[in-house]
Amino acid sequence: MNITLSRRQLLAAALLLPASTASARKRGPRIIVVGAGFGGASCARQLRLYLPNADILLIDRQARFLTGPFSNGVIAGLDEVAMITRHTRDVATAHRVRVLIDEVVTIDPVKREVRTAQHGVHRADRIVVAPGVSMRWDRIEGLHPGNSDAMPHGWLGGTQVTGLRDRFAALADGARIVIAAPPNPYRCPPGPYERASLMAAALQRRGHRNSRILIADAKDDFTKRALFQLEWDRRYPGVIEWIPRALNGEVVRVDTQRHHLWLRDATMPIQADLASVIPAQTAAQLAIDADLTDETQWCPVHPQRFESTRHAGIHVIGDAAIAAPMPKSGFAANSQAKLCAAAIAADLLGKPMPKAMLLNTCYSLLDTDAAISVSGYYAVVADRLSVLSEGISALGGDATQRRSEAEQARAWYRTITRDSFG
Amino acid sequence: MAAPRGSTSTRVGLIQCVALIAGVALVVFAQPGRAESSPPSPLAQMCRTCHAEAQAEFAFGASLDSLDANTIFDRLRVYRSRSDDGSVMPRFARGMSDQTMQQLAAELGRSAP
Ligand SMILES: Cc1cc2nc3c(=O)[nH]c(=O)nc-3n(C[C@H](O)[C@H](O)[C@H](O)COP(=O)(O)OP(=O)(O)OC[C@H]3O[C@@H](n4cnc5c(N)ncnc54)[C@H](O)[C@@H]3O)c2cc1C
Repeated sequence: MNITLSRRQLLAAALLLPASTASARKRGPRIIVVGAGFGGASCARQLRLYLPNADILLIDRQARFLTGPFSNGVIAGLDEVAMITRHTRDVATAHRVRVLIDEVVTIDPVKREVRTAQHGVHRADRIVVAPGVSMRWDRIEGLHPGNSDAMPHGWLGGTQVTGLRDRFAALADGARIVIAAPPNPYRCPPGPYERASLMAAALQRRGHRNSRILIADAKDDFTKRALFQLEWDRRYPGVIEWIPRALNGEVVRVDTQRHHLWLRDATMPIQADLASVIPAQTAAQLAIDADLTDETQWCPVHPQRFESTRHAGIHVIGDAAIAAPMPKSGFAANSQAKLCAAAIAADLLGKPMPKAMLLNTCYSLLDTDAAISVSGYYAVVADRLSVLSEGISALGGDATQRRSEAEQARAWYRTITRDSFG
Repeated sequence: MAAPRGSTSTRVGLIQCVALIAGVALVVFAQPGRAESSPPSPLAQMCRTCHAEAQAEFAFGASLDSLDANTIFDRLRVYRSRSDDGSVMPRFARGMSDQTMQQLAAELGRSAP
């Protein structure tokens, strides 16, 4: 019997001999990634890199999604929504993984099974869970999912982002805007303050002299506070007011129909022309239902490999995971995805675990041409994630430095979205 | 039948083919100390997000394609010695040991001529 082979095929077959005999005994590993945001999409890509023969299935309920980064620019009317729009199928095609657009209804972390609403049960050797966050509706009286559109958080992408943008665009001069900032921990720590900055920039461009932005905060401090406040005084004097928790800044009750917000211990409500109420947050409900969370309602993980401490073989990355001192950011989710994928591959291939080192930078725009940032380099020391070095933009930075950081922020957005979503 | 002139295809009997594959495999896998090509480290992959390879229009970090390992190592050490926080690299480099920098440089400078 004769067969025809090219020299290239012969050589390839020879090189693959041990691997193919092994895979004849066992099919390639099956890995399900739940969530195609910054964490899940990046992880799917890295898994394909490390495990070329694996069967990788990426599941997300959204066919189309908006990224958190640069959504504040969209809300303020300074950036186009098309810039922050991505499509899940395109992500899967770019990363050469299978995709399912479907709601994951349950994850059985013991059997390692994922049940979706439309496509039944899927079994896996490993499951990576990257579902992001859910809102807590039990902290602010009068606010619930059914009426939150009236005071949109715009924190989960979706129609609230464009809804908030349209409401903001319709405001007349003299408007009072209230941003309710949540308690820690939450997605994108500088986000509420960046939103205030970009709204102030947009109001300035529209010639509003009398509109005001009030940040009612459930915290007494926030990331890059000195920088933000210095720049607000410089750029938007008298426009942005911040009320910390210690001065009863926390919003405890709302009336969405009357546009009223009550701060702690206040007898009279604040009347807002536009309120963006960002509730306290937890890991996404799916992670809670799958028994991946602890009493904090976030997911504890071994930071060396971002594997759940509660269920072996289940990995949690991104905002849902407890990864302090890293902030909950897209950059952090992308870094964690890379470590997690390398650790899964090492485990499945019987190789040494990779070194657990992680990077993050959070840029915050003060205007379209000005930004500040904070960065950290992290490693696992004695089984805990620790900061090895960090830094923040100089307080005394001049306009050139702020402009340079704004350019870096836009370039970073292009590279991170290309890296994560293809 | 002879293979067409200029074609890379070769007709081989099955036995010869198996023998050839086994032979090549033996040579390849019997070499002492053969360095298996190691997968990229997660930290290097994080660096590549900004210093993307062959994607100049997307990369905003300096391209590393033309830099050899020694140059990258030297630059990381310069970043580590800088006290200003004007850009992200000094913030990262300050926490890196010489060993980490050497490993990173060797990996990222790999594609250098
Ligand atoms: C206003 C704002 C500004 C931001 N700016 C920045 C910034 O400048 N830089 C930065 O690094 N980060 C920024 N972030 C944070 C960033 O968006 C998040 O940290 C990042 O998206 C987290 O990634 P993730 O993969 O954990 O979650 P996500 O990106 O939210 O992905 C989770 C995915 O899981 C899917 N999912 C959830 N549950 C299910 C289910 N049951 N079934 C199927 N699918 C499900 C969701 O549809 C979603 O697509 C910002 C966020 C906001 C809100």
